[in-house]
Amino acid sequence: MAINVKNLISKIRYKVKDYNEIVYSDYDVIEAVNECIRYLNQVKALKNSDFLEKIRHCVQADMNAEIARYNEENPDDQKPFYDFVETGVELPDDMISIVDIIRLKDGYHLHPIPAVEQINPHVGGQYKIVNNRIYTNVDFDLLYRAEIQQITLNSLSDSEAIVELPAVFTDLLIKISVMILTNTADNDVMAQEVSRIADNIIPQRRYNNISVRMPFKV
Amino acid sequence: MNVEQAISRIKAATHDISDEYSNERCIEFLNTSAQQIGGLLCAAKWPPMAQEMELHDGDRLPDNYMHSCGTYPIRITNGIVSFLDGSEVMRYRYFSNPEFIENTTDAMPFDGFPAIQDVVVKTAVILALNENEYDVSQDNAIRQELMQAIAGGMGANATG
Repeated sequence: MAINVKNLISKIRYKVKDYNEIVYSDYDVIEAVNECIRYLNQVKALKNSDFLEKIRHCVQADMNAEIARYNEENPDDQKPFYDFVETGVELPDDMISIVDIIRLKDGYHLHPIPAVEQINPHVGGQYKIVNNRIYTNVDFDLLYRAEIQQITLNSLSDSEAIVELPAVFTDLLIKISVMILTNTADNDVMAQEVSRIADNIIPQRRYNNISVRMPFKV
Repeated sequence: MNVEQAISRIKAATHDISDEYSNERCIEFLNTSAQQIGGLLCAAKWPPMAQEMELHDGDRLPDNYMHSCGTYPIRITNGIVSFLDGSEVMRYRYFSNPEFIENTTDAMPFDGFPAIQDVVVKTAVILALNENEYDVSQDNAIRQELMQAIAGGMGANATG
């Protein structure tokens, strides 16, 4: 149900009547779509909608096994091993905000401790985030709100390339991208317009009734 | 139409019974007029004038280059292209004027578009007559009309 990039670009070209690729290069169109995606990320950042939440599994043993394999294959490029308590794990690049962190073995919701304190290796259920890394002493699942990834020129030759949004966003992307291509509206006007259209599509509330525990709940 | 036919049309239209305009001179007229009209068509972004090539970092721009179709992440300095996005090769679309005519056996520019070739010959005739201080205002008016007819046709099909 995601949006196919090739299809999207073709629809934008139809809208600006430039199938001949005379007025706008592929680079122009892709930059416009990316600008639109960036506005959309800003608009969406603080909304409580769940269709772009992602889960990342962090299992120390598995991650270290992968690094060991990599180090064996690339003797010149040694990567350090993970120690969740001491060095922590880097947060995902596409993260906007954290929704929940749960302990992998039993689903217990971890709770944060002040960043200046050390994780106690003997007490389960603690985590802290500092310097874009997350520290804890258990294997965990990180549920986070992800940023929509921008598209690249290469995705045009890949018929499988997608924008990670539900198909209902197609018209928003087309309309705003065309506005960016043809108009010179400044950023604020554009952001307002994205916000207006996005408000119609992105639900303010979650689809399900499961209550989300606040991260600070003990 | 090839260049030979175009030259005989120029000679007929200028009543050149004393063979005043040499073939070389006629080719010059044709070149000037083809470049002029090509420039107008490029400026109007007429799709058949668009070309496509594979551009590499450090390449020289193609001959008769006019302008690119849209924006590309490149910087052009003295005809040499440098890439700004780190890619190695780029599919580059651009507008260019037709090649210069060199021999009477060459094909006329705008092959497949006889209406435009007519205007090219007409313009060459005006250039030739103008050189001998004929009154070319009437011919010029006809040429303008031809150009307008082409522009009208382009408007109906043009995509941008």
